[in-house]
Amino acid sequence: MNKVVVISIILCCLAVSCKHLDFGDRDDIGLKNNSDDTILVVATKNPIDTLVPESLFDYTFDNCVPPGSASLRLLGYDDVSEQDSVIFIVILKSVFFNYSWHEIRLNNYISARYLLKGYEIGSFGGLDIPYPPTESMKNMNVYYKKQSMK
Amino acid sequence: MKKILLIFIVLLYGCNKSYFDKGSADFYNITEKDVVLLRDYISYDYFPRHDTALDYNIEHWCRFNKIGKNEKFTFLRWDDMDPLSKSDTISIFILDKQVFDTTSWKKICTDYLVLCRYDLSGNDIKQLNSTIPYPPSPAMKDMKMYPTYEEVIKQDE
Repeated sequence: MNKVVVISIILCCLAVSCKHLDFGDRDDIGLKNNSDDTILVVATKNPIDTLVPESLFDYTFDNCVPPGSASLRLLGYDDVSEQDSVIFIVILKSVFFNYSWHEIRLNNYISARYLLKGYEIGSFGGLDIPYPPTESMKNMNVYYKKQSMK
Repeated sequence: MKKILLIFIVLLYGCNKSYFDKGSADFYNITEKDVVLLRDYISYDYFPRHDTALDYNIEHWCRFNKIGKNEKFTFLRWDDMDPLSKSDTISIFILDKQVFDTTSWKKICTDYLVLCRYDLSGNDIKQLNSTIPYPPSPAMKDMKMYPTYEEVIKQDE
């Protein structure tokens, strides 16, 4: 009986320690496109690798984010704890137009990849994560290719 | 005066009542393969394009949707359907997911690599009880589609 109580307490403590992100009214995570290109963005939590997924549909995605717009809601803050990793992969519309998804994956024809911890996402204070990456992201795991793929 | 007011209220109610009994429309993939579904944006400001070409510009499309085998997917919600009347037409495009994954969007559009396109009126959707099957059911044989109903059935055999 004592063992059960102790285990229950430990499990409760663990559950509480997996602190999820909380920004009041905001319950979702998205990307803000501050570039001049229309982009496509895919995202997932705790990816097994940093590659473009085998299919667009393997991850949450927004297939069209015009310049100046925010993406559709990609993940919920409720789904992401501070220790989780979230990957965002950005592909230019022109690349998606000219290459198959398999070619994009094989050749890594991406414009940017962010591999962010939950607490790093939290550091944006509930605002959309910017694309292209900003100065405030310089210590984050960010890959950004400035040249457009034609 | 009371009669006029009553007639006005009845007309107002009649105008606001949606043409569709159900507030959404589903697409039902009855095949053994995954497909991708596309449709236009619909709004009061932007009615569906009356153009059956595949637009190169992905901004003109709603989200790409993957529909698994034997899966249903709600492709029209109540706020999409409200602007639609029985005579408006909406085109939905059905693609093979394998083709979608392995072919550029440019080639898909240029070579029109669709499995099927349905051009459905509000009346058609209502007739199908707001559930649109692929492959098409016999109830759809006189509805507008590409290729023809017979060709679509044959290609699925």
